[in-house]
Amino acid sequence: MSVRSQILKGILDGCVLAVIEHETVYGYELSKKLQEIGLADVSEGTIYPVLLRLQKNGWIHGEMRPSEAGPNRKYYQLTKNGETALLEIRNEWLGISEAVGKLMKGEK
Amino acid sequence: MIAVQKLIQDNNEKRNRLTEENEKYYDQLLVFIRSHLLLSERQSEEVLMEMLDHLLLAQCEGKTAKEVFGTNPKAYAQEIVDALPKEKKNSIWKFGIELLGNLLGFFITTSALGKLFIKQDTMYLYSVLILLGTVIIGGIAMIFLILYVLKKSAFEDSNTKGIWKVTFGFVIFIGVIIGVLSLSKELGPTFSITWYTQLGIGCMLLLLSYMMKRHRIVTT
Repeated sequence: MSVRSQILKGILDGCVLAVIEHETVYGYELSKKLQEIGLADVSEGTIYPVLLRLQKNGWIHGEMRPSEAGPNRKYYQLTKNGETALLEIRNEWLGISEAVGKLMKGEK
Repeated sequence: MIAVQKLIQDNNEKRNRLTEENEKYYDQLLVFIRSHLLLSERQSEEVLMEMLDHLLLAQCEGKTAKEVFGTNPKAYAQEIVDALPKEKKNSIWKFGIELLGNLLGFFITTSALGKLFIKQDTMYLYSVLILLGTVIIGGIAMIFLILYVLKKSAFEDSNTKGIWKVTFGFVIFIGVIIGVLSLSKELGPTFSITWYTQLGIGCMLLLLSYMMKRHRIVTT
């Protein structure tokens, strides 16, 4: 596993939550959004275990319904608990990234 | 809500659109995930459908299953299985009774037809109970053996070993039944039951199991 994917692994849950917070998406769409943001080396399939885990935690809710284009799609949206969890992850991440940023730039 | 049965049907149809290479990869995931009977059937089928739809779209972009789900299908499938929720206890019990009704119904019906030819109505209570117990335990053991083999061989190129294991298990199962039949003759108080009464009981069990199956398909 590359260094980049190792680092991403821990924060991927947060990234997925942050995308779903903006809009209701289905799996394929979600992976495209993550790629557009610049997380292109997250292998597309990795989102499915993440989505299952987030559903199990009760942070997101997925519902399968027919789409205009034809196939049934499972659309995900954030739950109340998910909003709280995202807020916490967001605060933690901002704290960590600032501290690590300083350290990695070699500032004292 | 879309019925699970419908998802399975759609899945069968859509799989035909995969290229040979992608279908081989996807089938491995499918067999492995479905062989975990204690996981939520709805959630399993939904995620299988999502993955299939995703793969079909990626295929149009010229991507392979390996690029979408990674080079190690076994590790990926295990990750999915670990993340799937368990089936509700209630549903597991109902499904267990349905399977048991089917197994016993089939056994009782067949032996009723056998009785028609030997013209022997007298039965021994303990012998009958021991035999039924053996059939139930053996049947359950066979189901677990088949699921175990499916899980083990999902990612192997050849199924020969698995088929041998199941055949071997089945031979032992039949052997044990014959052994129990000859060792537990004429035990306990006697009672008499005609072949058509027994046929009736067997058919009732099969009907019960069938109705439970209908109900399960309609409600999940």
